[in-house]
Amino acid sequence: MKSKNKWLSAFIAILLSLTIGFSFNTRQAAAKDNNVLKVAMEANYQPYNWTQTNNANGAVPIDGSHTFANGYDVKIAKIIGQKLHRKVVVVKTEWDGLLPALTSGKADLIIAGMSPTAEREKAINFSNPYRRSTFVVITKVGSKYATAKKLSDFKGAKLTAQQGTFHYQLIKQLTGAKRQPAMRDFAAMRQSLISGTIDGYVAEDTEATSFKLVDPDIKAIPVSKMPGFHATKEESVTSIGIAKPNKQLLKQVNQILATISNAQRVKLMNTAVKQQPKTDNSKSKTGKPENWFVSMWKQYGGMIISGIGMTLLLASVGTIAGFFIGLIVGIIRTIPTPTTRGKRWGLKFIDWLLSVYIEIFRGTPMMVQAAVIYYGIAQFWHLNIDRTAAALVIVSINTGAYLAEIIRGGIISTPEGQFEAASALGMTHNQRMWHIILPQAIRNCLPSITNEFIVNIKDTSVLSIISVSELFFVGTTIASQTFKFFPTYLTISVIYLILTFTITRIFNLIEKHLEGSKNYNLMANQVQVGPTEKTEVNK
Amino acid sequence: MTQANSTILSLKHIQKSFGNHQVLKDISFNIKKGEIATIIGPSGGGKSTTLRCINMLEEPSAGEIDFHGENVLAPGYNRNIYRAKVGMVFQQFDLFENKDVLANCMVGQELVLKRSKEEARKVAISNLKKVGMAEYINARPKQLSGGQQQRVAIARAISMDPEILLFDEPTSALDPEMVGEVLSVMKDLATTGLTMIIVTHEMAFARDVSDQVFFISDGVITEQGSPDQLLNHPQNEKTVKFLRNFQNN
Repeated sequence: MKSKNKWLSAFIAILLSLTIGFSFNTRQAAAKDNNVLKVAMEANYQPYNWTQTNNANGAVPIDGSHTFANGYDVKIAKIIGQKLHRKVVVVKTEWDGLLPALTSGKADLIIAGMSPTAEREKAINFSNPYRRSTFVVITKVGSKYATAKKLSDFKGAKLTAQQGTFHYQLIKQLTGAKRQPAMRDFAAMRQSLISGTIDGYVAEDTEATSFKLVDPDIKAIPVSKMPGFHATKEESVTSIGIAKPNKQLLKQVNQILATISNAQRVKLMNTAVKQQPKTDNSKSKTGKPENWFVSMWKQYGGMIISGIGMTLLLASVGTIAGFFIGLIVGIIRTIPTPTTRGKRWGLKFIDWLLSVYIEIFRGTPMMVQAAVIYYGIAQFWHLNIDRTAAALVIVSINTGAYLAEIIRGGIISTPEGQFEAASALGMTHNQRMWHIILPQAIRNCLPSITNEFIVNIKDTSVLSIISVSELFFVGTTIASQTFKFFPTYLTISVIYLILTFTITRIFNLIEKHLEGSKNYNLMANQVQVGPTEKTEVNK
Repeated sequence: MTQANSTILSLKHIQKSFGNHQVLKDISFNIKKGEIATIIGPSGGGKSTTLRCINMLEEPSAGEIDFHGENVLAPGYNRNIYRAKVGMVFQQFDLFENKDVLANCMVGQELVLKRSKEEARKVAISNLKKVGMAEYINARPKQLSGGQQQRVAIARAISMDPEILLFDEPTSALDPEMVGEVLSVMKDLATTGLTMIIVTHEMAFARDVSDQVFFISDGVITEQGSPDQLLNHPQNEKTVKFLRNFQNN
């Protein structure tokens, strides 16, 4: 039994050192803050910004990963960084997470092809424009809308645009067009267009230029000049987002932008369009088209491996830490009612708190919890926690809520006779729990714990909302850059399947081992009895 | 009866209700040190509840239980120490499923009596030898037959060196061919001077080993006396009626 306690304390020590380690990281990051310019972008919106695996063409590192970002936005960011004598680091964030990242102080600037709409200006400040663009409807060559000359020609067309952008509002001006649900990113819209689920989508001219590089079969119809089309000035320009209190930085950025001429801007954009990743025509040196999986593995293998590592780390730490949280909660919730009144109320209160915890974390999606905790802590306490640490904490407490009920059920369903036999020997409640009930309860819960582990491997994919680069996040990045949606997600799903299958097997073996054989082989065990009482006994 | 006739345990007007149902109405008796007492009676009459009240697996609703003259129901009395001194053998054996035979017999000694591992092991093995289960020290409860499990349960109980040992229908859950092995272990124990209170339906066994027999029905002790008085010459009508079922014994 002692050995179990040792194991427990070792685990707690590891957990503590991890936490301390993370908080150290945070402090170090804070100390370096002044020399670093943290720029938030999707790194998924070519040619403004994209992710690549090396630092070619002057790409800058993406915070918290081994990948790099490049694009028009990055080039602008580097000019600003240079003038401010600060090193540019990209904070890769999903589109909907950009504003929270800025207001919570996780980024200094948003340079993400974002337009300064009035709505956004309520939350943050915008610099002078760093690019002007025109609007197009992107459709397929040969589509009946490819020849549209006026706004009403789009009558009946199924159109969409990116979620959270004003592009989506512009569709209303195309009289008679059927507005489809907004989509997450350009990658998804391109795929939908190719597969025919939509007839087109509204975007800027640059998107058309870069899309054409990988797929010549698309056509961009400029709508900006069509009679009746109206886009405000704020809507047709892109600006740099800066947190409201940061007036000084806003002034500096505007001064720097003024020094970048229009000609230079066009040149930068053209360079970006040329540099953006194109994997479609990848051919080996012999000129033969290379196997797609081989080329993808060559280019993104490292990313995939680290994604697998991150997924496994999140799932295993989450399940183990969640198990201990669940164990403690389960134990507390099965304490028998104390005799003294004060203790009884105290326990009732703690019990109530714990059931609130369980209800909240079982009753809300983990994705929402992640967003609330990660951005909330930063916004209200100005604590900049490491995103991996945040993800680990979120998975752990989420799993804890589920396992608490599973373990409580395991404790309750242990046969009454086991409690009574232990009581009859004079054991205290704690002794009964630790030595008799919990070992049995945990063993009976093992299938459910395995299940929770499997769920965690899959469900940690929702943590992409706080840009933790786990397997699914990596998959999305690869898919949006290669436009090979089906093979990429197929590969990712096979990897998930291998992971979950392996873990199921391992746990099945453990269960089998704990179960032991049905019959006791007297002959095989006889050696251990007799006069030599020193022989060690298996426990 | 080897020891002086000092009373070790006495129940005074014990009552026990489950909700509105009063199972024990008024149970009082004295047990002397070294005495073997048997409780017989119809099902649902309160035999097992009486035994469970002695061990405080059930809290009596009213009354007093004196152990060496001290009321164990009084607040502040250390019940765990008392329970360690009053062992119990259950109908369903209730061996700890997560432990092997040896560990079942050691865990109470180590945790409650604070004996060293070595000492606990020695005591456990010598008691397992007494019940003929020493060969099975590494077996898991599930791997054993009912009779074997019950013998281990007896070894577990006596490893605590109890002053009183309670048996709650120890052979009722056993297949007939296994009853004998358990009863013979109990008979051996009865000769060691250990105080025992046994709830049983084995009338022949009760006649052989008991010093005192209680007949409990409807929550009261209907009749009590020596085995000869009660089993061969019952006075109360209920006792007569009940014993008629066991004429073959």
